[in-house]
Amino acid sequence: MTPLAFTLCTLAVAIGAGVFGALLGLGGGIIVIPALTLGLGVDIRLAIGASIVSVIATSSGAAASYVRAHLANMRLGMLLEASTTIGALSGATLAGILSPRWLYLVFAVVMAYTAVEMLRGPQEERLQARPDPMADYLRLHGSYFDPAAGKQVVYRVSGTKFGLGVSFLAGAVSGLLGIGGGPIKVPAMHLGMGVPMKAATATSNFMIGVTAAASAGVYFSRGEIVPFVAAPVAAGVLTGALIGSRLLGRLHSRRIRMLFVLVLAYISVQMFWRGTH
Amino acid sequence: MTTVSPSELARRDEDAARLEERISNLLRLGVAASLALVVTGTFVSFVRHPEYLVVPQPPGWPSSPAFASASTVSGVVAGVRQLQGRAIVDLGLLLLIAIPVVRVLLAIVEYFRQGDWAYVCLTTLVLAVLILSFYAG
Repeated sequence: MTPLAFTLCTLAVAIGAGVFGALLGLGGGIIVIPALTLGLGVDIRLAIGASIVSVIATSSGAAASYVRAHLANMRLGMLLEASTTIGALSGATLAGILSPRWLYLVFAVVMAYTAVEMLRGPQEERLQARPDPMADYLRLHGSYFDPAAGKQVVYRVSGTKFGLGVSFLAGAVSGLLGIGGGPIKVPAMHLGMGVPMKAATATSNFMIGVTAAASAGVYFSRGEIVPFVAAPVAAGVLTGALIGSRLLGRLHSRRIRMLFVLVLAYISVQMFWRGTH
Repeated sequence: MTTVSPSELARRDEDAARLEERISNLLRLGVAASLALVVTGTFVSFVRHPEYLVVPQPPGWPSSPAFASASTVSGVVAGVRQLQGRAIVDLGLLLLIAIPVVRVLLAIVEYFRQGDWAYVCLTTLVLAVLILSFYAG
């Protein structure tokens, strides 16, 4: 394959990954890594390096619109960012202690359970905000205009402690399992904290770039972020994220949620496979 | 919950709007500059190495040293001075990586100006952990 053909193929995949990532609050690694390794024969280390670039590109590309549209809840994002980065730091020390096999299997179950819960949607009693003094103190509540529903959506955040705990865990295990925090944090915000689906994916997008930036620095200095692989990934994902972030407002929340259920099911099967092979 | 006066609420809304505006502008500007560098660098590579357009490379070619990253800031700067395409791409990628970190810095400064101490602490904590994990990694 010529470098030109490689660049064009990667660019096409990356645009898709950017749209998908911006809509669901994920970094796009789930698409970029298999496409590069299985489809284009790129070494796994370079593919992971490129996927870190993809996470940052999705995050910054999408958040530029989401912040302005009030879809991304910045205060909630910054709060959960703090616990997830501390989690990531502790995850590195956990790596030597825990057996990855069991962790994969436990996670396969957790993701399958989350998929079922996401399919059912937030429970009615959860939708009526429980009082949460911590959320009041930190002023986490939000509102945004939803073009698809044609109305202003006002929501109150609850379950702040639960959210902090889950983001800590998400930070800790993502390094060990090789998955991003999005698949864990979006359901946690939506099902556990009373954040509407669109605000949850937009807030996740806002956050994921920060966690990825620290690892990106390390990957770059190790020479694992290679210009010829990362350039089409960055350019494509940025373009895709700009498209995706304009699409999110117009799509119905239910569609986004169903797409998310499929991703969770896929991750669950993947984790199960890794734990049993 | 303590009661908040209407003027205080209005000030909070203004502060929040300004922070959103600034962060959104930073992200747009950063993304545009990074995209421009990455695309320019790729074009420069193809113009300076026309064989990349037609000559097929062996499998796994991105791993070969001819396509390696400069991997240090000084290496990237030296490459950019020689107008190397891949160094220009690297510069764009470094800029992209820096955006989230600058975003955290900007948030610290803004929350400090607003006197929102809880969020000054939170965002400073994030920055500290980022720096720590970069050196730990």
